[in-house]
Amino acid sequence: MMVIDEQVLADILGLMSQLAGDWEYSGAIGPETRLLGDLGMESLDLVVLGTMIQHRYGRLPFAEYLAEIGQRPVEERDVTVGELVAYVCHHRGRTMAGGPR
Amino acid sequence: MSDRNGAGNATVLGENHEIRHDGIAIIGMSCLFPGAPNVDAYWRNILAKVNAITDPPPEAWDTDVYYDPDFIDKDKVYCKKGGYLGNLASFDPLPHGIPPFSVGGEPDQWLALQLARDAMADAGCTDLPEEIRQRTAVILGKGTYLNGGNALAVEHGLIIGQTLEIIKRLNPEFTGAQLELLRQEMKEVLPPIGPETVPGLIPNIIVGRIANRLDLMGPTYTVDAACASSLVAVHQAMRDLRNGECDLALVGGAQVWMPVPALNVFCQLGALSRRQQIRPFDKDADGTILGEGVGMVVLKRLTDAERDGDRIYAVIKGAGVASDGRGVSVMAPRVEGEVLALQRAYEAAGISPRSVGLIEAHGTATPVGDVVEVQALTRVFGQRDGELPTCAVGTVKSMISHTIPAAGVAGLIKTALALYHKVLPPTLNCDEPNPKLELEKTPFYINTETRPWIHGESTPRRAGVNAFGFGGINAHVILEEYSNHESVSPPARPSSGNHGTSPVLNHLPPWDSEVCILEGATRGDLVEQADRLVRFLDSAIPSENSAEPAFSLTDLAASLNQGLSQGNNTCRLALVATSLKDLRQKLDRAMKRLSDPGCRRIKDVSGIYFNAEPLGRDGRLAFLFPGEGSQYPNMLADLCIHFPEVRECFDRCDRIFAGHARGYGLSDIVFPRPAFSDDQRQWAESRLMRMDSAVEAVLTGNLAMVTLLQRLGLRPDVLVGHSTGEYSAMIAAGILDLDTEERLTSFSRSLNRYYQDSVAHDGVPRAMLLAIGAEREQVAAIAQEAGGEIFLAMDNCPHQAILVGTREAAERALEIVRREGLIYEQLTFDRAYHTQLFAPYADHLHRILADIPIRQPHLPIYSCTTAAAYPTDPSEIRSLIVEHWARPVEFRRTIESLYKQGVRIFVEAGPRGNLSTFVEDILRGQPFCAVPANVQRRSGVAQLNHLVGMLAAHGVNLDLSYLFERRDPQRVDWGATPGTVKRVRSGEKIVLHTGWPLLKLPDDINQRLQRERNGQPSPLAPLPILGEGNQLSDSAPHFQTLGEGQGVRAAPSAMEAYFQTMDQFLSAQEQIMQAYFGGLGDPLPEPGGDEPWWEHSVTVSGNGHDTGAAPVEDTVTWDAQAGDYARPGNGANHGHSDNEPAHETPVSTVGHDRLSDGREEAVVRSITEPVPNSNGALESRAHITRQLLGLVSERTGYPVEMLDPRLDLEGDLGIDSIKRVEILGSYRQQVGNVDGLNLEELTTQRTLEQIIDLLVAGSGEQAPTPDPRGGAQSVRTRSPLPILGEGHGVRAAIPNTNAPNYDFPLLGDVTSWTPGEELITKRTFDITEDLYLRHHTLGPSAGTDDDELPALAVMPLTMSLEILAEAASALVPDRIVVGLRDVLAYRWIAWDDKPQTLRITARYRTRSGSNDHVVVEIRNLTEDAETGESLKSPVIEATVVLSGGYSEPPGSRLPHPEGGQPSRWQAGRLYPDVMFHGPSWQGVTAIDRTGTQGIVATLRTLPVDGFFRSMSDPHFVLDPVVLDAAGQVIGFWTMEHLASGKVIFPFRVAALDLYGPSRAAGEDLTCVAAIELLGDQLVRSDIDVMTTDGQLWMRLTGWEDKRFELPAGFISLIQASRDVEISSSWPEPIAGIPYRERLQCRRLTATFPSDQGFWKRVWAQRVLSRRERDQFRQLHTPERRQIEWLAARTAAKEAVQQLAKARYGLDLLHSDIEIYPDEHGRPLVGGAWTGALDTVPLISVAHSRGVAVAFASLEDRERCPRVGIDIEYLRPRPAGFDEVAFTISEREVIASLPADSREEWLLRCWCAKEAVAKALGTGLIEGPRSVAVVAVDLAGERVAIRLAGELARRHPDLSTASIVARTVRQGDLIAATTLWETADEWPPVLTD
Repeated sequence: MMVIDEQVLADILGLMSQLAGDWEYSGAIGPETRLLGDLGMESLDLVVLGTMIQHRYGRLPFAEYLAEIGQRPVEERDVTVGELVAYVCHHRGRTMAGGPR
Repeated sequence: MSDRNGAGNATVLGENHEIRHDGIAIIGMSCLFPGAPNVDAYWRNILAKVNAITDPPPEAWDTDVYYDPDFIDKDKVYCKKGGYLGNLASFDPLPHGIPPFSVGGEPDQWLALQLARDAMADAGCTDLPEEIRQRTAVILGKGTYLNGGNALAVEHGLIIGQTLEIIKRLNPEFTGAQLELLRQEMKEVLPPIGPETVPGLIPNIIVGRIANRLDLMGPTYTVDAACASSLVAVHQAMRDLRNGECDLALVGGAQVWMPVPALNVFCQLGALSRRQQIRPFDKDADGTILGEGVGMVVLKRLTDAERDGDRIYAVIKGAGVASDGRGVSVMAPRVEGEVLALQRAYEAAGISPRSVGLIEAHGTATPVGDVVEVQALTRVFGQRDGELPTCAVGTVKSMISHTIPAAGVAGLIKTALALYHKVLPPTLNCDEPNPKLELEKTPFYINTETRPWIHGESTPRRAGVNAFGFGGINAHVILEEYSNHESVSPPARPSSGNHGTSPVLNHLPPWDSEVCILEGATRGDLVEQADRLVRFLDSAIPSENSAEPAFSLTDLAASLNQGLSQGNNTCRLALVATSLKDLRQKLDRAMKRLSDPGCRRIKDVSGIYFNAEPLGRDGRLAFLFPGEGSQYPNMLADLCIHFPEVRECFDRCDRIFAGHARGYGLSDIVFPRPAFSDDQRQWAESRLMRMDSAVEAVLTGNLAMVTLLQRLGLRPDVLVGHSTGEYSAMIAAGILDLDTEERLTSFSRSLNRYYQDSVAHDGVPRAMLLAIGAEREQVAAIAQEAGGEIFLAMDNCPHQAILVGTREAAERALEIVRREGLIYEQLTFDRAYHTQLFAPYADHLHRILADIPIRQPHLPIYSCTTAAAYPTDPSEIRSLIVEHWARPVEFRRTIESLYKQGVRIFVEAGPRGNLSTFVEDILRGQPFCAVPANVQRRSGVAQLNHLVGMLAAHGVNLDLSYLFERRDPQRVDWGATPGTVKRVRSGEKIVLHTGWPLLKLPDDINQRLQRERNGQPSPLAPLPILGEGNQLSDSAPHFQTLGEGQGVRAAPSAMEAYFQTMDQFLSAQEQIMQAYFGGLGDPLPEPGGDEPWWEHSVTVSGNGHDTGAAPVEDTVTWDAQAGDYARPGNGANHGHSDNEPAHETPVSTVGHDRLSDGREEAVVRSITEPVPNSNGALESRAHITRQLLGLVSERTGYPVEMLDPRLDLEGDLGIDSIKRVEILGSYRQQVGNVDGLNLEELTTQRTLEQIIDLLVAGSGEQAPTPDPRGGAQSVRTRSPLPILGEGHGVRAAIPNTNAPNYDFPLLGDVTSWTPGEELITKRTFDITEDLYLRHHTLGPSAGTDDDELPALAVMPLTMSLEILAEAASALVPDRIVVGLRDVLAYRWIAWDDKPQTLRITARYRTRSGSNDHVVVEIRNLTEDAETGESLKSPVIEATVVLSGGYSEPPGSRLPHPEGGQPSRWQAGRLYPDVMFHGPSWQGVTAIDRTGTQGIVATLRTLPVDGFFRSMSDPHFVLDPVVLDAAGQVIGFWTMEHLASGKVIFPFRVAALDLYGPSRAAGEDLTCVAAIELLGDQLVRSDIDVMTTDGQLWMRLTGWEDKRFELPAGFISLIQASRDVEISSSWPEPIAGIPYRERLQCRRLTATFPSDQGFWKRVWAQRVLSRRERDQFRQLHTPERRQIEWLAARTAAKEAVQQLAKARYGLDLLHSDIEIYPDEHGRPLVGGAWTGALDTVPLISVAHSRGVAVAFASLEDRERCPRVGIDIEYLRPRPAGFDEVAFTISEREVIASLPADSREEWLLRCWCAKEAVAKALGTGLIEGPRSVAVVAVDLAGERVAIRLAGELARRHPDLSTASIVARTVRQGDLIAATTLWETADEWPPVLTD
């Protein structure tokens, strides 16, 4: 089961809205929202977002994560907000020692 | 197997290079297949891979009876899945000139006729000249094995007869009558077969009808070659066209209705799929699936089609037909036969099979059939040559099933569309090809995906279609694409040689979205435009379940975009929408955002774009061309299908490598064949990444996109290419001059050759590529730290730079990247581009470029090598091109320089869209717009729409017509007043019978038979078996059962037909009577008027009393109800008396009528002067016309208003000579055998007008004279009612983006909201949710419990007030409602059984002092939808007053009633005794005092928690219950004080004032009302409601009720008691009969002075069973007839009630007794209870001028086998009546009667004749001469009647007896009844 840390969720949504610039999304954004399919992000946007998340939470194995996503079949090549938050929560524990840089 | 069938004896035919010019063009197509009503849908379904094979719809056949999956019973069917047409098999006969009553028999013929017209229209041949029609052939494939209509005839004629014989032998005790009943019951479930429908059972009628209706005179015949039928038909047609026998041919196949025996036969043979899935060519294929469909094509010689400029779908090059000869068995397919058919086709066409790219296979999915087919194809095509298969194979059977004779044409249409649109269509259900096919050895592959048909060969695209018939008949047809060298431009429209005006549609697949652009000079304008569009959409899409709007999203988008200005001063909103609904929602969202002045732009991912500061005005525009890595499999595939110029780019690339040694084209890897293995998949994927293919793919993709963008009118200011994309930029800039195909080919082949050479010598420098998510400086530092051969090759953007290096160096760099925690990706290709490693390879490019002319750029182009403009010197350019491959791509710096140069708009002209994301990253935070033309996750057209939307919103000018030019959009006038979308008028579509109806008997008959079989005694005892009356409902009436299951589809139309018959039966008599007994009835139509005659007011006399006294002759207006209840005082109904002298002074009155169609009109009604004699001819002509049209309508089913007398009877109306004889025969029977009427001459006339001319000429003195008093005539004028509603002014933008925050139970969903300005909501009210309505019904339910058969529910006025108050509160949320002003209700809101959707609109009007005024109106959208247009007035409107607080209450101004006294209404009995309200509304607890001018009552506030099913504790703004109670108080007063007009309903309130908040439930309040009568129709009251301490809480001023004068019997309808007796006993007609306790005669006068349409509904809901309610709602007769229908039924039901009570002690409700007509219209009695009786009651009904009577008998059938009744009013008869109504001998009988009573006896005799004819069940089938008066018994008031003519022949056993009719006169009413007594006991002689 995916556990959503509300604080991390709020942080990531904040980062996403920074990244989105003037792009809008008229629906409600929640854990089920897909970054590519719904929000129209591109793979480079994931890199930028990953970089921003690392700035906040410290180093995470993002390259591997994105590579894994990139290898999925085209129709599954996406990530939801919830998955991203879960990923961050899961890996933060292991890399928190260094703390935010 | 391969030895025998493989290449060994393959017969590969070569191309015959003599070009044949005798191709046959397909110029028109139409089809109807499962899931596809037309060609558009068929093609859309094919491309979308829709599987239309389903379980049988319930009406098709009964799976409970015939389906046995295990097939233990070999008479059943193990496969129920099929391709069923279901409701698609429907037909509107009127446009074809087919009489509706003729529609029956084989359903194929009607659908084929429709499709023949459709195909001709598609070909542009709607109006062919005669010389072509004479040379047009019709050849249809149609099986003559057991078809549906024939099956039905067998059921009717033989099976029922046999079944009855069996029943008779099993039950010898059954009487003839019982068997007859069984026969009738069995016939009832079958679609009728009669003289009208029988011709349709002859198979060839299918083409005969087409030839007849389209007037075609070439050869027309059907062909039966089983599954090959339609291709054999094509073969025949080609021959006829080629040898000149015809010039045009309509060809196809039809199979509608697959009878169960046919399915069974296929099961017996094991041919149907056991797994119930058709899997052609799959390894698990186990059989076929059968289905229904019709398809047609229009064929013409190609040369003629070209001459005529026809649209040509495809050209048929050849066809071959061959039989199997002697094979294994007659059923087994044989390779040799199939091979022969194929060979004959290719030989005939002179075409090599090798050039065929698509085979539409027969592919039935029987394992043997599939294998044999592939073997045959392989023998003709040869074995595979090369690595890749070349020919796609599939079959549409996988989607629609096998439609037998229509299967060939299904494949032909599909294949023609494939060639026309250049698409390889998919086939379904082949997951793994059957290995036995050995496809790997053949040139074939199974194509399971929709793919663009890219073609680089020199021959045109070609395809073959197979159809192999059961029994061994094989056909193959070869098609070729038609290319007129203009294939890129939209196809030619039919021009010179074309003969019609209908637009020729392209059948393009629909787009998944459209872009809609609105513009205005200012933002305010833009909002106004959006608002107009919203209103337009709301009016065009009225409600969820109503019909489709008349236009599509595409139509609207094209219309919106067409009007865009190209100026710069505009403000634009662009929306990308997927549907009209989506557009509506996005408009809402956009308007909300635009209302916020702080909103500077909208850039919504879902597709909403707006810019307050558009960049397109001043900013420059760059095209960006991506490089390698942007290609992906299937890129631009959908664009290839929608845009031929995109596909052309790929075609060209394939042409370059056609025949090339490498053995594949680009399309082979960009649009790979569906892969059935990983190997196949990987082959295409790896090729796509290889350098040579990657370069080709990227350049082709870029070229395709830039072509598209240029066609869109985009003009870049500068061009940039990224890496390989620089080639694209250079080509676009004109530097690389590759404009000719030769040069492009040479360049491309050189590049490829160089690449191949380098690969061969290992000369392509390899490397590892790392994309690193960091800035270039950091990435460069990593390269440096890593050391060795690794370089920064690309600086894409701040978050991406690419390192390229040797593997070792790259591994080191990767270590550092990981250490730094950077995000990275290793790219999948390996070229060492843009580094010095690549320099050696790049140097060779010099040589290739040396051959290419290099020119100066004609458009500025930037280089990513220098981040600056390209040099202009060609040699510098050449150097830069080469250098570019060895130096880094400085994309970031290039974009930054462009930005500095003023470029703001970046359009990426290539696949995938990577560069746009780089630009986003580079320019983040600055104003710019970067948009890709293509992205992988959206469809090609969707992204194109987003691109257009974004650019348009930035003010970039585009040529948007390009998006629509091939798609035939219809213009939508969205700027017009909302609601003007016109619907095309046509008749109702008749759903055809395509099912196998189960012959069955009603359940209760089964039970009865069961009981008898078990030896139990029949329930002969008079007293009830069933006991209590309320147990009756436990077993549903048997009609209910009949209506379910099998019978459902048959029921509505069959029943309606019966009703029509019954109605005709009754009305025909009346017509005769009206014509000859004074002609006072129908007024004459106005000369030249185009209204149907029944629309005119009909003045008839009615009897307001049920006494036997002389009727008081009130004049009532039957079809035009007097006065809308909202507009009292205008009733025009008390003007004159009917029997006043004929020379009455003309009177004119004016009134408002609520017409049956809901239009509000004023009626000026005048009583005219007597018609002068000089007008006699004209009037008689009008009369004859009316009578004749009425007859034609009755006999054909055409609505009268369609019958223009000038129409050609045969040509336009399909009324053949037999029908004409029938119609004219009945006419003669009606008018009598008038001299000079020569039937023969009449029947040969072509038009009704000509017939009328003859009739008028021949009628002379005989012509029926018109009404001597003249008729009441109506002139309609438009009402001067204020028009409310639609045209509001401009709405200011309100800066508030919150949704309205409300929680109001009655408002529903917000559809539009402008805070503080306007709120529009929509809510559907339904008695299952809005439970309070159940307590506000007019009377209790008609069933035994409240939930069953609820009475008519009406919205309480006060609940409407609550809606108004809620809407105002929602609009002005911070204020409270303190009152209402000017409440006016125009119409009822009532619930028969269906929901009503209301739209509530609240608009802020003004502030007055501290009060806000909000105008609120309610519209009933359901009512609007029913009437087809918005009614002019809302149902209710008022002004709501809101304030910050309540005002101080004044003292009560109302004195207690003077002379007040205690009321006769007892507290506790108020509601049961007086009112209809249920517990929720019983707010009056006592009437304290009552007086002539007022009343005092006690009210109590009631809880409302049970008001809604899904809301437990609603909060209301008002207290609607107390308000209603205050209003009810007036009702208690009228019921007590008034003698007449005491039923009242409120409709107007001048003012409501509230002085405090709503009170808690359970509190007592005092209500004081002052009441005053205004005229005789209105009651006006002022009402105060006070708390118990005397403080005024609420005041109603000017509360006005309308009084309804209900006839006495009808008041009980709306009261709480279930005991209703509406009719009254009428013993007089049966007074002399000894056993009259077993007879009942009742009469009923139903005259409603006003709002007849409403009372009709109240009445119907109280007396009808569920099934009768449905029937009643289906009656489309004039309202007068509907009332008579109800009245006659009610009287009959009550007569039966009385008898059942007296004889059996049964207490029956009205709804328990069902009256239904037999096929002749004779009413029969039914109901579950009848099973318990020893005899079913017999009834007869009659009506005349508002009086309905019923006669019922429960007498033993021996004694009383038949009953009949008829009534007429005595009135002066016109000259000539006697001669018409009676024969000479009858007249002799009458002449001998005493002179003073002769007049009366004449009518008694007439009624007697009618009564006898009705008792017989058929009526006067030959008019007055059908029966004859033989004697009159003056003293006994009896008439003896004998059957004559046809009736006597039909009933030889009755022909010699004299039947007695008893007559009676009461006042002016004459009645005759018969119990079928014979006249033996009284002498048949005249008695004085």
